[in-house]
Amino acid sequence: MKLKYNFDLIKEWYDRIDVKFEIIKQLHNRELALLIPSWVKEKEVLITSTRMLRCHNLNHYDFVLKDLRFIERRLPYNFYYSLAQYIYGIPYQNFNDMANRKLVNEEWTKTHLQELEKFDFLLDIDAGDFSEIDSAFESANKVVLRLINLETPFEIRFSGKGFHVVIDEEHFLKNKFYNSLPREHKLMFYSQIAKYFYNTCSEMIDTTIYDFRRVCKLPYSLALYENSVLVCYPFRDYYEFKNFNLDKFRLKDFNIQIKQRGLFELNKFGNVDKLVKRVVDNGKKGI
Amino acid sequence: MWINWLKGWLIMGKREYDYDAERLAEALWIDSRGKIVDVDTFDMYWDDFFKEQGQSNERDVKLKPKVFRHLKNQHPEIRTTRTFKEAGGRDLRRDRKRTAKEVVTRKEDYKSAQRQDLSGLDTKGGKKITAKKPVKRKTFSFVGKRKGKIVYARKTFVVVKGKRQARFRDKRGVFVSVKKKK
Repeated sequence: MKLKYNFDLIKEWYDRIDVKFEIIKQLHNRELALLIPSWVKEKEVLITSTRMLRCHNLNHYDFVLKDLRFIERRLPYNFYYSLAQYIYGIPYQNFNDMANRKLVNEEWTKTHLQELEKFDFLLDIDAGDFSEIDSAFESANKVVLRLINLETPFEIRFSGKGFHVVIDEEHFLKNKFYNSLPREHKLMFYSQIAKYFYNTCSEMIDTTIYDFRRVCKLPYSLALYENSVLVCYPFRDYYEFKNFNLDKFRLKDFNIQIKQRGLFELNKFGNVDKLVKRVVDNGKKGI
Repeated sequence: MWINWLKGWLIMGKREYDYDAERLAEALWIDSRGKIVDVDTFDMYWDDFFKEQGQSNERDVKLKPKVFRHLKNQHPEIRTTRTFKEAGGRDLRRDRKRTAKEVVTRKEDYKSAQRQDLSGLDTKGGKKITAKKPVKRKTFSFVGKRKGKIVYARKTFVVVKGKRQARFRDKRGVFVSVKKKK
């Protein structure tokens, strides 16, 4: 397939040692997925999306880059990671015996909930195309200001064509109401939080997919689109987010130091109590 | 041994398992709060699930039977038959709310009902039926603002002092302001 960007730049990005370490840190006991974006129409390319990749150290990372040969094959993979974290991570993958790998993974998808350690909350704010990125930013800003007001600890990240707000489940586990819910209802509650923001802040929030296999764009990976490549970037604080400029995150113009940068939580010492109460109260009012 | 390596290399990355259908099935079950019992209720909750996002796209339509199969595997009590067989899968609840003189929700009521608006449905079972074209869904493809909230809007036209002008309405039909696309 014909792509308009330079794959050498993409290779150069993923070969950087600082990028490798930042990516590996986030994949501990989580699943890595390499997915072909939906704007690709060629069927033979679409079917190369791969999930159930284990990437907990440099060896795994080098395998993903080298043995899958996605740079040589010019596959426009986007890197995703699972919101679910497992006690022992996902099963070891044997690419020399695909039939067995299929059986192992199918068996694991039936039993993975037993090994689920935690499942983070994600709010996905997506622009339909780049002309709507200002509206997506405005939507994200409304959500961020509301979360700051509710003293909720959260992360805000740029995902390429939108923004992600992520709340670690550890904060929810300290809340009495959330803890009283059975596991399946916790997922429904996440869906209710998303609907609350959908109804009060913006219709650009995706409320459709809340399930235990949900994946999210990996920070510090590249978001590949038809005509551009952008860096998925976690913001350090509200000031950095407020001064968002799309052009700063184009790969060819990206010059922010990311060595040992990690992820950042706003309202670090807050809690989700006010957020939970607000969502429950609004649920009772039918909002 | 090397044959297995070759097979692995040849089919590397091929989608062996339909994760999307499985994920959608789980999300749909959770969203319906476990109330899917047959194909009609599955269709109803499917439509509701995608309602907030506007139309479901071609990819979702192709995934629909796979999603139902996944649901059936996980919840064997779901029937693969329809309650309203003659309706052929149309959402009776949606059509009825908009145009019907009498809303029918139970199977027994449907069989005995006479004055119904079965827009686009199979008319073999009913009596005195008026068939109409189903209402087309509008596309909400413009981003606008209403009372500070970011909303999706569709373009409509009004005539003001004899001149045709574009106006944008959100899903509730309320006028919203839309920025011009750059």
